[in-house]
Amino acid sequence: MNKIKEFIKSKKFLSIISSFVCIFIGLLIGFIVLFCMSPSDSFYEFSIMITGGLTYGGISSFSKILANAAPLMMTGLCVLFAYKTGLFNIGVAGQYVMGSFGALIGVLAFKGNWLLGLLLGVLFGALWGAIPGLLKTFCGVSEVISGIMLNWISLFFTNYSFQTYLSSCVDPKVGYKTYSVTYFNANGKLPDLGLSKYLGPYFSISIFIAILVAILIFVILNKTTLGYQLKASGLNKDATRYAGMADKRNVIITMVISGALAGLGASLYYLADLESISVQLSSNLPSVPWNGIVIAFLSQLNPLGAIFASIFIAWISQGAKVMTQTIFPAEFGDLIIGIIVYLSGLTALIQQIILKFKHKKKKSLEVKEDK
Amino acid sequence: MVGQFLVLLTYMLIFGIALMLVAFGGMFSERSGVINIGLEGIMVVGGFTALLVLSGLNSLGVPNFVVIIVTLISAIISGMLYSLLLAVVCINFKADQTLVGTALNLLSTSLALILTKRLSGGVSTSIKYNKDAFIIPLTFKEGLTLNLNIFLFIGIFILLISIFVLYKTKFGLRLRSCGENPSAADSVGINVKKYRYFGVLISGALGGLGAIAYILPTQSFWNSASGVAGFGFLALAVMIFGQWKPLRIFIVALVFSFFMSLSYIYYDFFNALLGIKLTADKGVTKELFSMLPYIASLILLAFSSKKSKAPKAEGIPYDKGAR
Repeated sequence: MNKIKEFIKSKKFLSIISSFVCIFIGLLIGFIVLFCMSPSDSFYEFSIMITGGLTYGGISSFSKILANAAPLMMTGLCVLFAYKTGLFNIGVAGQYVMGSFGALIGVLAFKGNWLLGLLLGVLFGALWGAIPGLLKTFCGVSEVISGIMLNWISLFFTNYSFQTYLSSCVDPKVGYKTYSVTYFNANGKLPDLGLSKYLGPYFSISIFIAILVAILIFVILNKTTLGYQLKASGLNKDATRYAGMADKRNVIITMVISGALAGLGASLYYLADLESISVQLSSNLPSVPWNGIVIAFLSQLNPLGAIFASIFIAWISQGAKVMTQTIFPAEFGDLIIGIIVYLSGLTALIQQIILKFKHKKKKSLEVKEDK
Repeated sequence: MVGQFLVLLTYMLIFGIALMLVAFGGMFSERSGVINIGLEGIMVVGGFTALLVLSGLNSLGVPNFVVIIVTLISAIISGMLYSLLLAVVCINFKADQTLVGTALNLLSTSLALILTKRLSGGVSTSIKYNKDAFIIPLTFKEGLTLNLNIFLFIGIFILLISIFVLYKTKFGLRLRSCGENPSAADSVGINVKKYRYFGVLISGALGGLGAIAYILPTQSFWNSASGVAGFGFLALAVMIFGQWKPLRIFIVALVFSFFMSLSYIYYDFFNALLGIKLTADKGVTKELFSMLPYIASLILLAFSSKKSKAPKAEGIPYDKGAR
């Protein structure tokens, strides 16, 4: 009992509460927008979104949520891991795109199995992540700026490659998209352990890989020397150099690991065959890595929190897709997610307000006791 | 062949002016000390609102100059209002500027998509409009026409104004001081928060204006699903390449717009000029040209970052207590 009381007073609890406040306000604003657009339908449609579409599709729908949550979790960890070292890895989108490029050439061009795809995806992501790390340490380029440039370079490069020398991977019949992994090379698809018969076609081992990696990142950050050093250089770079830690090496290592996580996320997405890449659409970066930023901050930079945050985000997006699309388009999920990430910029403020509120309550209690 | 050069020039002027306007937006914001990653989102919101207003005005049949003025004002106002979302939380509540900027980008696309889908009953994501009021065709002789648009004149006007305001006025000096050393500025009685608000609001106005300068002259409909396709980020690259200085930004914008224009018309251009048919089989696609400006800025950054002219206090929330 005492332990629970202590936990409630701790800073960890406060940050969890502030995350829930963000989610609550985000959902509330989302509901208000729905209500303004069509009052009569809003209650019913909103309840459909909240139940995550489980009402339509049941267990198959749930395994789709899990399949979507796995890549989100990885991109979330990618942003989170870099942020712990004081780096804002906005280049997550580029590392993700390069990861998808690696994974797809592994299974479509080399016709390897899923493990090769996974490895190539991680490798490409890690290499792409190393570039901003190297530029930061040796040339002093801000990782935000180089990340933005690399994002677009990766998108153009990937589409260029699939249009020219890798055109064998592209299925011209379905509007210039890469071949579906399932039909082109069944070995390339992530294994489902024979469970997809019961759990729907989207089920694969991706969610287990993702959770294992999340735990691994948690251990690295909290239980190892490397994690300690990385976190220390995030808090005070000069102090860590003074204490004899290799701060430059740490920045590069962080970016490599961070990029590898983004690449893994992309592999889990494309090798589960959730979607193909449209190779002529060079106007938009994929949304999964951007939502990774949301997850990193929604989880309050806790790797284990990222597990729940990513399932929540996948849940909301899936739910938004089963609303009546002519009244409420699926982008409502993105809108709510956008509001939540905007609010999570205000975490410090929200925590202050909560503390003030608590303080007031305490004071009024004390006054009562005095009487 | 002259025709091809005229087409190239038309595109270059359109993209160059638009890039310059948005990059100026980034410049004013960063010179005051606030990094504005959300320019892309501001462009989407500004462009969306202005084009919606324009298509509404088209159906009303009002005179051309009213159409022009109302459209421009709606772009500017909506951009400013949207940038206020960044200003309030970053200046008053010291939120992470990169995070909030990213949030603005995410929000804008979903908002524009929801509203366009809603307006069309869930069928289409496009807005159709008539751009004739904005275009000034210059005909040299039969078949040789150079399409200018009013944004060219607005852009040159804003270029001159920006140089004047930034370097020759009290306002400009104070704005720059807030980006370089806010504590020093504060110590001589300059209201840092106020000037940062000005910086962000100007960037919102220019972002909105730049959005229609980019979208309007090239097409007769706008698809909200593709937004502005990274144009806001390209403008940030222009700003960095231009070292946060107006005249340099203008020149860099023209160079970047050359590559951007090529990515649209490279096939016809090289076919008419050299008689080579550049197709995907020969290893040339649109993306090759789109990539170049980004790679160039990355290389430039690698060599010049150590003596970069970036405002020293950009991205750091001003804390009065730390003085």
